[in-house]
Amino acid sequence: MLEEIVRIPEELWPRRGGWNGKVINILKKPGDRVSKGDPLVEVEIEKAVLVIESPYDGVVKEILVPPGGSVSPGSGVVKVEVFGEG
Amino acid sequence: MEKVRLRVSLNQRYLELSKIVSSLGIATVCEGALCPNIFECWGSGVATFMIMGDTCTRGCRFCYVKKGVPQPIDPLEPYKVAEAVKKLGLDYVTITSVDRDDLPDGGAEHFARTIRAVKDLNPGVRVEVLIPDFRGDLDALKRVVVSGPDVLAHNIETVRRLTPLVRDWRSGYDQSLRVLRQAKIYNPVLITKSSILLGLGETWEEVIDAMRDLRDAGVDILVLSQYMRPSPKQLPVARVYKIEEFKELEEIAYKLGFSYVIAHPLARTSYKAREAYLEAVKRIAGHAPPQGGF
Repeated sequence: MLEEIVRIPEELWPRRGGWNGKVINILKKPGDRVSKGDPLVEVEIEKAVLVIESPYDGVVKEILVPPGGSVSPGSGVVKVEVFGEG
Repeated sequence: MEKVRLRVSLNQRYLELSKIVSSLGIATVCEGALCPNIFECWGSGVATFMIMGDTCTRGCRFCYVKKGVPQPIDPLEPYKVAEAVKKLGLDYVTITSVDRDDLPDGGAEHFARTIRAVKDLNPGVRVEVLIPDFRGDLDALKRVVVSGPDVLAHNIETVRRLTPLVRDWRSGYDQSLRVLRQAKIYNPVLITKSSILLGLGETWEEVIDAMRDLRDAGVDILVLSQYMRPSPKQLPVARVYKIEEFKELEEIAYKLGFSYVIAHPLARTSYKAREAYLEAVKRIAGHAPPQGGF
């Protein structure tokens, strides 16, 4: 089974790296099915709350940063077991 | 204070645009200011270019753009921006800049060269510029106006009383109004635009006074938006306006005579700029009555 890590996208404000935030909510728990585009993680930054979508179809395997944990661009937050093709 | 929720959705167009601006080495204010609309704008293939580097000489206390000693001007930047407009297939482009108080003309000539380069390489393209105040140097302003932008924006940012607190000491409320008024004198058919950030501690009456001052300076398009603190280094948010309050201010603005008003918490000066321009042109020509925008 292929496992992928859902990260805070580095392409978000790509050349303005230095920001960070705090995970305030994980919207799925281990064992939950998740589809591409589903809201998965809420991250609070100074300016707003970012709702990070799942880039994968699969099953949530592990929460890597629990609510309250701090994250920055590139941080892995959730491990997903990705459904295979066909 | 409840924060705005932003759905992070990075589609293929977003990623392509990111590659184009990065490979050409052009800064964008979308990134520099952590703009909350980046997902929507980049996702539809639109960005606001920020010329003359990513470092501003001014220390406005609401703004997240880097401050410090800026890089030397890239003389090829006008052509790079023109090339980016072509690659992105834009028919309407918004260009802003950092403040460059280190340059004798504040960067006015570079602005003018960029406008001309974009128009030369992209016939028919409309260009909107969001300019600094050039420290009130009206000759510098004239250089930009005669280079042929279709819309000239300059932001007063806040009400008169809060200007010394919110903006850099070299900025001025009356200086900004003078820039806007003079631009119209240099070119009476030029469409002008300005923005006010709400939630910095202003009163309702002060907002209306500022709108009236902008109309007196001949401003056509008004943008009202909610101030969102980008980091703990900037001013705190004094108040979050309700959507109904934005609506009420929008109605007042239309009564004051603006041709087009964008009043929304997430609105920013360049947000939906093409639509605002087209609507303003129609209304100035008397073809359409004002109605709720955004």
